[in-house]
Amino acid sequence: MSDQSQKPSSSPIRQAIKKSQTQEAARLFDARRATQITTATAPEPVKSALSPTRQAAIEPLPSPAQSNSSSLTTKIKEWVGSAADWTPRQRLTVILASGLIGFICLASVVFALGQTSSAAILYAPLPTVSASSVLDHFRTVGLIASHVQRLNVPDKSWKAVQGIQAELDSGSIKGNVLILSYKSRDEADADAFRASIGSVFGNWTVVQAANILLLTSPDTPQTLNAELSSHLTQQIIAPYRAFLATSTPNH
Amino acid sequence: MNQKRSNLYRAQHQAEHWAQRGQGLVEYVLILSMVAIVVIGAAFLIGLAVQRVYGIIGGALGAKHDEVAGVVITIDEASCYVVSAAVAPPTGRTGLYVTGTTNVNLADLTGSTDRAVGGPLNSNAGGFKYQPLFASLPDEGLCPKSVVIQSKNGQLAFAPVQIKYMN
Repeated sequence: MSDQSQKPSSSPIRQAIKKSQTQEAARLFDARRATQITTATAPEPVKSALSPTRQAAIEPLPSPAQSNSSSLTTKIKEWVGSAADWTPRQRLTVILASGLIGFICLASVVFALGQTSSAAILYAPLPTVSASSVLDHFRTVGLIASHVQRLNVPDKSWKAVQGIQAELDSGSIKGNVLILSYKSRDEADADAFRASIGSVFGNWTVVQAANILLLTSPDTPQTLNAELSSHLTQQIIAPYRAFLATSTPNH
Repeated sequence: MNQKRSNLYRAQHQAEHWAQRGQGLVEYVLILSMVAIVVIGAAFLIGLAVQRVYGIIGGALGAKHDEVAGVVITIDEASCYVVSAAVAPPTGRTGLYVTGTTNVNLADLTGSTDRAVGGPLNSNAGGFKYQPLFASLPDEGLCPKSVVIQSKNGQLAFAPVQIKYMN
């Protein structure tokens, strides 16, 4: 009778305790599962999480970083410990391997430092010359210039400060040329690119040397193009670049 | 009799032990030799490609390098032009303009960027001109970060590419 009278009153409390324990265990299970996924380390058995004592239930979980570092430390300790058991041959191998790695690192550093010093050689800047001085140079080296016309630049097509159109004659070979000079190399670069993509001068041969653009018409023979490019190199670039042959020592 | 058999067994065991040890050393030597051959062969085969990649990365990081010892390859100008339709009708252009000086035969040089590998170079006064056109529209997104001029013998020059607008 007394049992029957107690049952209805104690049953809800027991159920509540059981329910809270089950919820706590489920929560801990989820938390450990999450830790297991993130750290990829073996978690403590779930059994302990399900232990009935609250002390065990509130035991703090190791953080992923702690878990990782402790396992790494253990591994290193194990490895160092086992090094004491190495045979002389194994020790020799480790010493040789370490020496080899050190040598490769040292050689790389020495090589890199050597590269830096060789690349530090600087060339003198190229001079700024005028279109008329280029034409004069062409005459000096034996080319005959005819139908010489000064262009009214800068205009819509060119941002040059001086422009000359002429017909150049090298023996039996003739060609029409445009010689343009600019304030700076940058302006010459821009006009050279624009000329090469444009519909009017797209098929002309464009040669650039410092602030000078030399354009030759499509009907100009390739040999004359090469000759003019060479003369331009000799006048503007070769005196300032020792690796290029200078056939015109006056400049 | 037993003593004799024991000695025989011991000798046989020792011989096997030495045979195994010798075989191990030969195997080590063979493996090391083969690895060395493969590594050297790979370095020759992909050396230029690796060098080019290093150059492209260096240029993209803003570094500039010219080859100046004996063989000379220098990059004087490396610009990517973004040209509007007003300047280059009807749709505009995007292209690279690289010039430089060299004493190497142009047939032995190639130009590369982080967008295209192994383009031919054209002749220019004292050197070369590398001028690939990327698109018939103005799009700075098509401009490469760096350019590498490389010889067949392994010399190279690299430089960052500057974007310039033409409106």
